[in-house]
Amino acid sequence: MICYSEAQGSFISKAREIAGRIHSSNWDDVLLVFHADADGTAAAAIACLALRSMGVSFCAKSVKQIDKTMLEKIANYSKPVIFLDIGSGYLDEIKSMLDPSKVVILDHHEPEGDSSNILMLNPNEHGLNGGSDVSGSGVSYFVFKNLVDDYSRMSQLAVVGALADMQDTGPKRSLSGLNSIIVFEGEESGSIMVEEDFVFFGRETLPIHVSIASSSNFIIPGLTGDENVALNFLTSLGIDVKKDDTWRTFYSLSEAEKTRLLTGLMQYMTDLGLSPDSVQNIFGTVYVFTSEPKGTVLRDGREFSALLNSCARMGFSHIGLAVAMGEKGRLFEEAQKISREYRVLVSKSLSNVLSIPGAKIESEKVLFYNGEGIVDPRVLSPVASIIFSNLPKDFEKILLVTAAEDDVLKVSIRVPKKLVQKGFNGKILASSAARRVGGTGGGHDVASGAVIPRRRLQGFMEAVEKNVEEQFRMLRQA
Amino acid sequence: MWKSSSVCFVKLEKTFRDSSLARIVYLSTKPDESLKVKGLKACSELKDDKIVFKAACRRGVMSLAYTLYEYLQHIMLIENAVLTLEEAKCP
Repeated sequence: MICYSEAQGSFISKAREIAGRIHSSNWDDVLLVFHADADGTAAAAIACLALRSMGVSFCAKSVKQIDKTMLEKIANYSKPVIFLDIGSGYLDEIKSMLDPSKVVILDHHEPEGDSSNILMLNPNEHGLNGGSDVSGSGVSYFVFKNLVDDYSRMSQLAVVGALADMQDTGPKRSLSGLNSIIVFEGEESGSIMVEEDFVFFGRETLPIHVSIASSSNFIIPGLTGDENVALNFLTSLGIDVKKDDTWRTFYSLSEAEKTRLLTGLMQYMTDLGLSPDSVQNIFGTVYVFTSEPKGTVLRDGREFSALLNSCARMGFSHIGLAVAMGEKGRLFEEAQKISREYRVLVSKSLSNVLSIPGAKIESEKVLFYNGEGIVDPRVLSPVASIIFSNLPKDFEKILLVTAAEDDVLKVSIRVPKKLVQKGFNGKILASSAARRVGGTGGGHDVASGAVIPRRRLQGFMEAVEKNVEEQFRMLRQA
Repeated sequence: MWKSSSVCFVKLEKTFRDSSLARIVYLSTKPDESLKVKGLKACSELKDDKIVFKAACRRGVMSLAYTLYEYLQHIMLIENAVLTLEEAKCP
């Protein structure tokens, strides 16, 4: 039995209404436009699975953002279009260029513009937080689950999307809000198992020392990035890293071995003087997909989301989409190869920006890493997230990281949770500062981004400092 | 003592700046060990500038992990409070 809050009830009721409208529209051919990231891919996979089971033809297209040219192309299709994990930020543009009666928007980003006459489901319009309560794939889930008999796979995909958007902000790194309803339904159907365990990357598939060395969501000095040191560390704890000449993975460790590893890691991190919060990063809630074989990438929610994320970031959303829909053959192998290449790229860009002198510039309220020429623009967002997740919990500055792509600079912005709770909004910062230099910006209160002309960095940073100062002043007044 | 093989044992050492700071932290955390939590036993020892914390837990390794985390958090809080007071006394 699930008890909903009033806001959740209103959201779910709207989801049912939209599902009913899609069903009664009798569309025979639909265009799906989805955000080119892991959450968008999972959202699209949910929609594709539902439409396929309903016998509706569809075409899915991934996009990084929406602009006039794209809307013109979409208008030329003259098909009904469903926007997934994107669209809320472009309401006026969509309304002016497309027939609103043939548009559905399922998104969790903050809406901008007039949403009347458009069929839209967005948690922010129901008093919920699109940054932590539900992701784009979750929004897609709440609609399309009403149109199929078996939605157990969809609940897994919605969890993947939420984890990809780092919505595991509940106690013990759990999913909360509407996401917890999805998890509950997945548990009820037997497709999701919730456990507490180490949250190292690749816990299902990678050798333990590789897993420890590759976990870039948190950095353990000396171990992260160095497989040999991690291997020696495990050996010193008396943990057998191989069984019958095969590397063992985290999931194969016994309770006693896990205890040894836990104690060893905690002692190591305490000796380094790391804060308890850094120590806590190594364990948390894990989401296991029981329908997938043990020891595979798709069995662990975070690994699955990392796979979709790398496909999207490297420009292969279609491969990620196929895998999310259940493809296990050649495309799945290709996705794994892309994922390996992506990890190398993240690691290289991170190492560059953290080690090259002069890349880090810190002011009273802003921490800025200039990644121009040293950070690959395809991995800018994960690099920013990794740096951010390794800042102390009481850190109260705004983080900005840049990367150059052709004649533009991409900017990734992260805002500490404490500041967001007080009312600081990263999206306002990104859009306002970018607009001052002829760029564009958007995103969420906690994580946002901007694209600006390459030569306008100085002006942009001045606008950032000004906006940050203004928002801090308003927080103080509040 | 528990006899079950599913009991997890752990020993963690935390070294402080000097023995007096270790002693203050030790005395401040000591009363918490008497808290009765089913399936968990904990104790600590003061060894010069170190506190050695030992725990036995039959509630699973992750429960133990959170116990250690809370213990470390507690220690840090007290250590920071002492250092702040010292700073206030000797500006």
